[in-house]
Amino acid sequence: MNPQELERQEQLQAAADRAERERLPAGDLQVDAYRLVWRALKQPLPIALPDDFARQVARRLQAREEASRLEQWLTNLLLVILAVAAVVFALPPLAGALAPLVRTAAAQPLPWSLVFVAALGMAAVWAADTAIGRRQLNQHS
Amino acid sequence: MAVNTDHDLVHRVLARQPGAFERLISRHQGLVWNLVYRMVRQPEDARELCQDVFLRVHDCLHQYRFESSLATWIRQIAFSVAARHLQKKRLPLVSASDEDGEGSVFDQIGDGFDLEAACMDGELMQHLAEAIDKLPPLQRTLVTLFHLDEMPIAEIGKVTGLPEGTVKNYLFRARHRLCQQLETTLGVLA
Repeated sequence: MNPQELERQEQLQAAADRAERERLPAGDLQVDAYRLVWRALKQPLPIALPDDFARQVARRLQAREEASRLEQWLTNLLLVILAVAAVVFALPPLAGALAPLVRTAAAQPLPWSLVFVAALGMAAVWAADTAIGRRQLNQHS
Repeated sequence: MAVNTDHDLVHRVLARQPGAFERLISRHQGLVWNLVYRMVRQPEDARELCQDVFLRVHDCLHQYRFESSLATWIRQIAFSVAARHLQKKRLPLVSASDEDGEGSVFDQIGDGFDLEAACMDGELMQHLAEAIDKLPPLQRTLVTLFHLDEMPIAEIGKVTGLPEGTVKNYLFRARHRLCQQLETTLGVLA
């Protein structure tokens, strides 16, 4: 569209907009064509959502929340089963295997400086991880 | 008790008051439907997407900061859900060949056009409705928000993420295209 035509069309649309808002009588053929477009665009859509749409969505939400609660309950149950199984089946042989090591370690003096450095290192890693997580959260929000 | 403001309604939904979320849906379902249906055009898909929109509204409502009206915020979600649906179906939001033609057949039709009679002409209005349906999804959405929902350009920009100038340009092109379709139809009917 050349600039003159573009300007002419913009003027026609502006005139149609004004004529529709002020309910001016029809007259100019090309403005009236745009006014008809304006009216067509004001027509409501031929179909709408069902009357009980809100209830349908609320029901779907309720079903989703119930499914989520069930899933959470099953996850908790699984964790309890795993914990009990660990205590019953894994703890006795593990304790048997670790007992000599614990006895040996208890007999020797503890290297406190090494323990302190290890604790400091773990705290630093935890702090760095928390800071990175916060920064990522801020970037996404 | 009547719920008068968005603020009140949002707090009731967040407090899980019975019926509050249904009231929020009832209040906004029309605007969501207008936007989603105009974008995707398939009634079944549109109905499903409208449900997804409100489920997402429910999930994200705690993030709503009252910086815009609740209707605008919900429309933003609806636009995003419908746009993603079109992306998944590989349907472009904007037509690649969006150039408008030139010239007018009104000069050939002469003075036989009567605005009020044309409005009552079911066939003509049907042609125009079909022409609206044939607009690219983004243009369909913009004309719906502006003309049907009577949203200001700035609000439409917020919903779609487009600059105001771009919104105005798309609106202009959409109306021009529709007017050209009308001219063609009138040329055929004349």
